[in-house]
Amino acid sequence: MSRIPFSHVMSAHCESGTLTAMLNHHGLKISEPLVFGISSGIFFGYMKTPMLHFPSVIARIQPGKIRKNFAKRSGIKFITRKYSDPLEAERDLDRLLEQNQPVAVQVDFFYMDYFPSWVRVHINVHFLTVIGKNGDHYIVSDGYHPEIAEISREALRKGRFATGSMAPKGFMYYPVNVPGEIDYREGIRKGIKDTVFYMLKIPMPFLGVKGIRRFADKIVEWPQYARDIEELAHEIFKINVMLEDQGTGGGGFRYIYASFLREAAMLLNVPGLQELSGRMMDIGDGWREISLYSSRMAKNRDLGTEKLKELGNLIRAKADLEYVFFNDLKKIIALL
Amino acid sequence: MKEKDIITDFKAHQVILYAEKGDNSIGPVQTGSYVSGHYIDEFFNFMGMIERESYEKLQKGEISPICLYMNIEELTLSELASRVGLPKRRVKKHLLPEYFPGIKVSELKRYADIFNIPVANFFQIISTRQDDKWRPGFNSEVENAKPLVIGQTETDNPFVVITKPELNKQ
Repeated sequence: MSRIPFSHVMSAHCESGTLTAMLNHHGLKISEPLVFGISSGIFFGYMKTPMLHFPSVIARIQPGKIRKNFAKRSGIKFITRKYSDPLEAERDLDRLLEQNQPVAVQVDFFYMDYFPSWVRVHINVHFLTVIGKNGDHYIVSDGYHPEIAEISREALRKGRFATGSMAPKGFMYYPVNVPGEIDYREGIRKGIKDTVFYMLKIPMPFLGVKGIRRFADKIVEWPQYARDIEELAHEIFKINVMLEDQGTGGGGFRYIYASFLREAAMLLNVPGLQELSGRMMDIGDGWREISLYSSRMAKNRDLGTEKLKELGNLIRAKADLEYVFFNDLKKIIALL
Repeated sequence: MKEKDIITDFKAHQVILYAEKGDNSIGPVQTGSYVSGHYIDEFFNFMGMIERESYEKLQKGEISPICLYMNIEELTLSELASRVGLPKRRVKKHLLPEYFPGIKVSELKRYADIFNIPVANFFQIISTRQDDKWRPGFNSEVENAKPLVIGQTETDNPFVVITKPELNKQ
């Protein structure tokens, strides 16, 4: 068995958690919220595409962007690679592990068989760090798993070369030349500036604050997609999963963003960000209330039009709050 | 949200949430998942119902085995077609029992990889250990109490699997 000494910690989100653990390993002491905020991780989107049987909600930016944005804003370089040949990908991975280099990989979560069966779904944008090998198994640090885990070579290969939308294609990365400090002021400023654009200005009616409003308006139409009340209840339960469980840190990523703002306020000595952190925490509480409310509705099969309208009103109130919040954030960041 | 208000006792599904701590800082808190901790039975019941209905339809010849596994894995037609690399209209036909005999074995293998099952399982209904590891309704406390389980082991030949009864050592 060969295992690289690697500090395993659970993380709120797989992509920001994997990147944070990798940077910490290379000597840059930085928190997950700071990585998340600098890379403009927070977002909102209400999606209904032919690929989806039911509408879906996302509360974070496009997969892969966290690393890309962070690299751009921190100046840290990453070696990245995609593969068409699984054997070549495995050979490179083994070679890097022999050189004591932990490697972050993108996988389909479905094949990560160290998780219970009922949490595993096909989603091609899960990230973890490979930190060693034990015979025909790889040793991995996965931010969603409480301990370091082992996965068979076969299962990891299937995960890395899963097909379909956003296929990983064996994607891997690791950083080079990580400094002990980065320019936090510029990183935080650019990170917030882009977030404000994504939430307020992005010209699509289903993204940003407009996406929250669309979610509020469209929730009453959900019964038309369901074959019966059981399926509708199952999908309403998923609102809780999408906002709390799918690696969000709670409240649809709003809590982790509040933590980022608090850290940014201290680093840059800007009291206004501290005040906004408190407000973002309250907004997160509101999203958590929506999660719990929708769970109770689903449990009681209380899914009539009036109840769905009430849920829509709760969501709309969050859109109003976030609209004001991000405009205030924009004013503060203009002074930096 | 305060740290004390966010804690759920559910060891099988742990998550990290950010919460306000006693010293007014905001930090990560490891806790059980709220929805899993409170409503996991709802999930098992729904997925169990989908699974039972799909197995019944399969045995009556109303759907193909591809459709059975697509339902169990909650995949949409578009997503399955995208994963298997075939046109949607062709996959749609593969969901029907009358078109199932015309599917190439190489295509069946691609489907099997997506569902993470041996190709052989498209032609038989068995309760297997490998199935139990991934199927959504698996209840380890019940299944692992069985004195005998059926294990499936892959071979170097991608189309051949060894299926054999074993004593349950758990």
